[in-house]
Amino acid sequence: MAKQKPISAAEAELAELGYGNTDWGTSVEKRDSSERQLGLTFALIYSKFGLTKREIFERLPGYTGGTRSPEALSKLFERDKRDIRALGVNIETIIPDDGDNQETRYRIPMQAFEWPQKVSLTPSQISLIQLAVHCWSEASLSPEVEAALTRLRALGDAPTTETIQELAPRFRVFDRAFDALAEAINECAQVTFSYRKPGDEKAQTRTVQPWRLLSVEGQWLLQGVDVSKDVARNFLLKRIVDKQVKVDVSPENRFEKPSAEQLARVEQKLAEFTSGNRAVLEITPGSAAWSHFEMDLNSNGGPTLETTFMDEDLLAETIRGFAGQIRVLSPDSLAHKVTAGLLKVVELHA
Amino acid sequence: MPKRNTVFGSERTNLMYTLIGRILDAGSISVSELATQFDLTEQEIVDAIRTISVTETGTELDYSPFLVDEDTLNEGIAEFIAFPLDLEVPRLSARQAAAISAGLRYLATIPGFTRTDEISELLKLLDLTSIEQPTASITFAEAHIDSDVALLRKAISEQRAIRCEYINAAGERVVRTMDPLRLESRDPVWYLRAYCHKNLQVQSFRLDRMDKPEILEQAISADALAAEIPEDIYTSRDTDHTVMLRLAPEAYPIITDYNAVDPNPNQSTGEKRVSIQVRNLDILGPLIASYGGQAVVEGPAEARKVVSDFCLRALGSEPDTSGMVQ
Repeated sequence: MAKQKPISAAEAELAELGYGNTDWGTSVEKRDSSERQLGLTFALIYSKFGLTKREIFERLPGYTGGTRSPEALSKLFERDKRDIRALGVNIETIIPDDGDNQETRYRIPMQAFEWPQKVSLTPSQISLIQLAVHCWSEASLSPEVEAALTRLRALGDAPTTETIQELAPRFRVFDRAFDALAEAINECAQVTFSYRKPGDEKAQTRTVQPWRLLSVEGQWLLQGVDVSKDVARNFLLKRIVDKQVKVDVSPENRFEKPSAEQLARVEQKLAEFTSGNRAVLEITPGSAAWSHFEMDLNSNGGPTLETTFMDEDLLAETIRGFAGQIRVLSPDSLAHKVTAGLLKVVELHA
Repeated sequence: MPKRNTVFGSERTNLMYTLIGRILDAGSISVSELATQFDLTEQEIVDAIRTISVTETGTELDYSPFLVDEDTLNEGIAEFIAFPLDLEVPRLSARQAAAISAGLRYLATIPGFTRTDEISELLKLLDLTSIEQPTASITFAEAHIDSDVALLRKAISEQRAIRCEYINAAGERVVRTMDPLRLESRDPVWYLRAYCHKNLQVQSFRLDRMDKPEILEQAISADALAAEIPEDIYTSRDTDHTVMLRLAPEAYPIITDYNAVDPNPNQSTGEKRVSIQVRNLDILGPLIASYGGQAVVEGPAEARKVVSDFCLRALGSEPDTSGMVQ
């Protein structure tokens, strides 16, 4: 994956504004952002009624004393706020009754630093959590999950030296929509995106109340209510083609979190749909396809495999990857998709 | 494992939040214990504690709410001499709890992973400790995972060599003996990182191309034990081919899979142009064919021909017998 050094939004802002150098390995400014953020956290916890932006800019080291314009300071504050919230620390916004933006106050309630009960983790539990965190190591949520690991390590009752060396599982989360959708699910915020079905030239705009992200055999699905049809649907993240999913945070469009029953129903519907989709394939013995479908275990000796599928186009993709080793006996629509895709590739490589 | 040297930005903010909670909980704790616990150098821990101690609140309290005695810290002991705020280690955000739960749920799907009870217990604990209840907002359907995973885990834990049939990139079926070291996944594909007795180096083998693995009596070699496992599944070589591709958004996964530099997309079409390194041009046929037109090889011509020939051969309904045992 294309790797980037992690820099906080506030650091990026500083760089944009021309402060400090951008070599994060040796930069002095990199320290400033964490010191400033810690100071801001202390101030917003300690002040009983919260602080306005003006008070923060006047009093807090890290904001005072520089030559930054009010706009630059404001941007810096917004980015710090975002960084701190991304660490899971809630910053409350208190808007005055007269709606005067200048007097909006910010505070951090102590609850962010209070666990509902004493939690203590064993070294073996921490090693499991390390492995769970490692699963995210190629995903953009990674810094946030690493931050969680730091906290959970602190709850260990003994230093952890045990690591599970023989396993290194990872998800593949390359869908650009993933992070925005994960956030929207937590916020119960409606999302709008362009969704392109295979074979369609143009994408369609869909507005969805997102419920859950579900991985099925490595493919991420968004489950949620398609607002225009008022019905729960499944969307493949790979078919969301926008650069940025639009997240609607307006309070009037907030929705209720789905109940366990609603989630169970949408899962059951997907399972029913999948089990109703049947394909019969003939696979060349000894080929890579034979090995992929574990035909030695699944075929009862012959070359024919009966299988179910969640999505015909996804199965067609898999089959094209083994083209020449698999013949589709049924359904015809699947055979057609495999052939049409191959012809298209030939045409594009003529 | 070497300790991390530096943390910065919001990761360091998080470390400082956590250190405050940890030190308050312990009352007094050695810097070396903290360094071990957080997998950081002692210097990094000391620096973070000093920062905590000098950070002002900008309120009526015009000094840090967490003061340390510099002499005690120099002796390697972390304790606060004043703390008007009583903070604990921050709780997990809903997103963090959901992400860690998802990781644990994924581990629970791995065959032969015998710690399922422990995972359930942890999941319960995380449900209790998140700010909001993470009702599994990120989760995994029951997946089919290669049936060889359990056997290979056994071989790794017993440190014994294996023998198996393997279908290489050219589609040839070969027999290999190897010392299994680690199982890795890039969900849903599983790989075995193993020291190959033929090529005398650590290589990555796709489990779905492996057949009839058997555990041998023979223990894994000293070379395998001493070998370093490269971070990336795929390590490039001088003899690799560079191939230029044009990718629709649906085919962006190729960028991650081939560790390519990720460019900005074309504004109007959303397409990206990337170059990837491949060891063998033959892998392009199945790869590009699977995308059905969403990924196109732009060059070199030789690579375009490999793709075209692969598809034409398949369309000609000639059975591909390259995988047959010769």
